Amino acid sequence: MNVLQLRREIEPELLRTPGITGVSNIGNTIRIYVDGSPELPTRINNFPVEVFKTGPINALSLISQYQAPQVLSGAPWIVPEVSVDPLRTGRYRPVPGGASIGHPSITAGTHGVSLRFLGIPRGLSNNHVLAAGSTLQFPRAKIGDPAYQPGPYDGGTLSDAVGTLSWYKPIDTGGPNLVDAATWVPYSPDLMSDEILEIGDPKALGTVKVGDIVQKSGRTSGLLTAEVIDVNATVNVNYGDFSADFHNQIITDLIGEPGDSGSALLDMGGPNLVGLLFAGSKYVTIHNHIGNVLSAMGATPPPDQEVSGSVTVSLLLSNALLLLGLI
Amino acid sequence: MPQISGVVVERFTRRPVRGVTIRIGNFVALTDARGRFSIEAPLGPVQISLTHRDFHPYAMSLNVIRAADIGAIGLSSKVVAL
Repeated sequence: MNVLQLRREIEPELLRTPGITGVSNIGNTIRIYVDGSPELPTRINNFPVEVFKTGPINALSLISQYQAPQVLSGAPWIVPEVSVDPLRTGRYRPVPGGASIGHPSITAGTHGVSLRFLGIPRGLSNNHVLAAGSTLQFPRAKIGDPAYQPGPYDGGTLSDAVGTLSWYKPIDTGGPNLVDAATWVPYSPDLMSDEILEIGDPKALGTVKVGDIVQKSGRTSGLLTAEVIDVNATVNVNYGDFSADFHNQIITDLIGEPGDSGSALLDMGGPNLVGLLFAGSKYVTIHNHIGNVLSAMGATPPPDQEVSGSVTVSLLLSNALLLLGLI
Repeated sequence: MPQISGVVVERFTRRPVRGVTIRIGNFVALTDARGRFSIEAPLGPVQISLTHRDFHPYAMSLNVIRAADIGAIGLSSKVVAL
């Protein structure tokens, strides 16, 4: 049995164990992410075990303030954080990546990036930012709902609507997920900027490996750089009133803040878009791979142009048209 | 298992350093935004190592007899004044 086969066998039980937040492997070492001090062996099936402290992993938006006020008690992670840059929580036209945005029923998250550089005239953020954390079991938003910029917690109202929810991937609270993603379509093209604040325009898609340095621009903590510490983790994320497992996630040592959810993750080159921030803890931040996000949207890159850190990838026009047909 | 805690700072400025990887045996932790860390350690003599991409690595020996705060650990920046 190789290490990946072992992971598949032990992950479901480990993820249901109190104090364990995630599972991964770095080479042949099983890495178990923890919050607390669960009793763990030093080896499993002769594979060494590394115990990595993350603390509790929460969605990094300000979810459900209005829908579920009871969640506020005893859940300090959804207490709104003040932005390091007050302009990011203000009204921006056109809307750049890194600025506040949100569905009317949430508080505020981040507009990650315009996907126009891929031929897709949509803005990307999280389901729990643009679609209020809609699950398969309990949809909380519908296609066509407005996107406020800034988000409601930052003063956004109906008069600040810049577009509408055009697509989201429902979160499955009972099964594995790959992405927490949603898109919005601006009322007019000039309402959305291609720029990400303090980073500039993304040039292409990329991928990352452990040890790479990456950057993000978010509503609350602004521009931060970080190191990639995992590219294939399975983690359990707390959304306040539900939790869900996410597979194949990027983990960085970035310390995000509530309100940063939806931030685009980029490498230090191009810059190339590599991921989508959606959760984190006091020590780490969790990001979806951008390839998984595009696949979920039905916009996979052409097979002969694998997404890589050095290869520029353009989506086929047909993919974009397919996407337009879907949303 | 005892918890060893402390704070990692830049050696000269004493500013806290976030994202430092702390290792004791097979236990790993990171420092938070204030440079604080807390990590489990087995009883007895152990090696604690600290690594960060912008700082020279550092290691020291501890004899763990109980949970303890070991105070501030200073790291030297890799950046050299020209």
